[in-house]
Amino acid sequence: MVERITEALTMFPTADADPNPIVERTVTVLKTLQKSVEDFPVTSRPVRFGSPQFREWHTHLSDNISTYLSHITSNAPLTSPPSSELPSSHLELRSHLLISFGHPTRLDYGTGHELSFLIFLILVLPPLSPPQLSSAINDIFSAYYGLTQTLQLTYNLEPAGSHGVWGLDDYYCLSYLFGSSLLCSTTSSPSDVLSESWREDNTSNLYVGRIRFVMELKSRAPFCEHSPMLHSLTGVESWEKVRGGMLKLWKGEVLDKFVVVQHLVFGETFKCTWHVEEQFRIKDNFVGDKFINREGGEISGSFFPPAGRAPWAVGGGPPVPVTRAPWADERKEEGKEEGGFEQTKAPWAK
Amino acid sequence: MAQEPPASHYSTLECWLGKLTTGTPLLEAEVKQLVAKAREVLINESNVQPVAGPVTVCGDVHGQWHDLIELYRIGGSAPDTNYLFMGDYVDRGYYSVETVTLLVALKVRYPDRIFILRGNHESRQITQVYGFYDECLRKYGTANVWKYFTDLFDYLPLTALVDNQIFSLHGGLSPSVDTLDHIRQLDRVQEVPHEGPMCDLLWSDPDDRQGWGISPRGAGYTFGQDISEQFNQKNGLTLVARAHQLVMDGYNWSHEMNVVTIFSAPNYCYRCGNQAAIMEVDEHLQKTFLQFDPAPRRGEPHVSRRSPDYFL
Repeated sequence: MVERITEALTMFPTADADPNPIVERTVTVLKTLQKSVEDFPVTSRPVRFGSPQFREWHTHLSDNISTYLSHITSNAPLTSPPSSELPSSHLELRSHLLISFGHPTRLDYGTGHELSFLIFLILVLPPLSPPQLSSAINDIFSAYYGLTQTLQLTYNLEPAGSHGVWGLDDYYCLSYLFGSSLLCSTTSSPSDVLSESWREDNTSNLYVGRIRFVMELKSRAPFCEHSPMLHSLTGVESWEKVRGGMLKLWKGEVLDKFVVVQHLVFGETFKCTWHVEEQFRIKDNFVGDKFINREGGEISGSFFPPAGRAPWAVGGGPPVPVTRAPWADERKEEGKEEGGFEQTKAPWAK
Repeated sequence: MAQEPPASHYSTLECWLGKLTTGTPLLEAEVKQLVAKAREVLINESNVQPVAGPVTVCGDVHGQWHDLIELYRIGGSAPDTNYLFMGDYVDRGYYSVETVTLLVALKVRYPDRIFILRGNHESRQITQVYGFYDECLRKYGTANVWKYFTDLFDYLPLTALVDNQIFSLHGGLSPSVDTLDHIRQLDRVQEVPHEGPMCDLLWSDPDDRQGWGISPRGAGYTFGQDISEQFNQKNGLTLVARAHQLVMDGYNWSHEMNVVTIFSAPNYCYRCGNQAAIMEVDEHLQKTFLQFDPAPRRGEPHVSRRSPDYFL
């Protein structure tokens, strides 16, 4: 599907297709959500990387998601009161859309969230001709990046799993893939990115707009230092090569990375088509918006999985029991007294 | 590659320090020698390394080499000033190699004047995600230097104790640890585990809520003022000094001055706009905070525009 999208963008970069109503309404919802950020201003000085007020915005998103989905799919007014009963076809859309803008517990955002939004679009959009698809992707992703950049800046969301300066970008990948596809049929070359006037003339392009955003945000250090990979791409000979490489990079660094795709949600339409080996099977199941353990009991009212293990702790056998300080009364559970300390001794410990 | 004399020779170390203080990375073979020497020094340090004041306590640096040089300019150069760094030397910034090599070389040259603890980023798994691994590949062409350093990280002490009063560590307290003796008994020479006391010491954060809480980071815990007070009282401490969290002023008191957070990477990740700080502790345990901004830059790094593999 992504290959079809990049082909459509490459072949019809300036498609002026008949606007599809679902596309228009998706853009409206994204713009409404962007405006709603103003209602949840940052009130505390940040002590951690992300501002906790992002959670309030995310709760607003979650509370009103049925209204947004009904607007997108069936043109229900955006002012309708939120409904607690979602049609079953919306359950899956809701799951993808809820994780498209960042994680409310970790207060981060990354290419996994960008991927979830793409999956949402693939499920919600009707069949489109290549020119229509090109125009839809450009319009919707422009609004999506507008919203997510506002969220990142407002709440200082942490780049999820970022490779520091050595990654492509703190947050995105598809933006560069789609943007470079759109530039393939132009006479420009990737080295034009180094020209400020060229960047200004092409600011609406998804690739160039993002570069301008990064350069402005990180203006206190040279481009080649804060973004060495983007800088090195200015040496690639053509946009066609950038596009081809970006598709490979996206497959290699996003789709093929367990740490990214482990957060994806699968359902009836977006199916899990492979067999999960028992050793990697998570013992608790996600049902609707709740986590249900094997005995059927609800683990947490939250949409998101309970934290507690390191983010990189993949599979890897049973959790190691943690000993407990004598004064840690709050965590004491009935009938579960811990034994004494069983600690190994370092060779030099006297 | 030229044969260098053994790293035990001060002249060699001085030569390396000369390179490193001007931002020139060592050769791969030199890193190998340096790391071997550093391991000999670090293996003899305690999990709760005693440190005598006066000392200047520093937080995260994260590959911001220019700002580390600025830190020395503000705080005084080694060995005239004693330093205690509380981890997170690598990842995120462009100059993790230059930063960690300089700190390790200073440790080897002045083992009683500079102390370097382990942060949660001094780990094989974290550095493969957050940039240090990529940087070593990019700057050396192979992962050998990454392997030398991450093997060395296993030997870094977990915590330090300044004049028996100020307990210093990267992250925070652990529900598995109530006395310093518990920490002394840990076998620290290993990759940072996913759970348990050693993980918690490098991952936990203080919180406004009382008691222990689940950390939003997914590792370690949050701990309230009640926990800090009891820990300090039980161990005869006056303060827990820790790093690990961005604070906009570079330092931040919490838990009614039972805990202080120190963060020494200004404008973290090139975009956070925060000041950095270091904490001077004098021989009477009086504390003075020195704040600083990103170092002014002269020129750009010498980088090639060699295309990443995906684009060849």
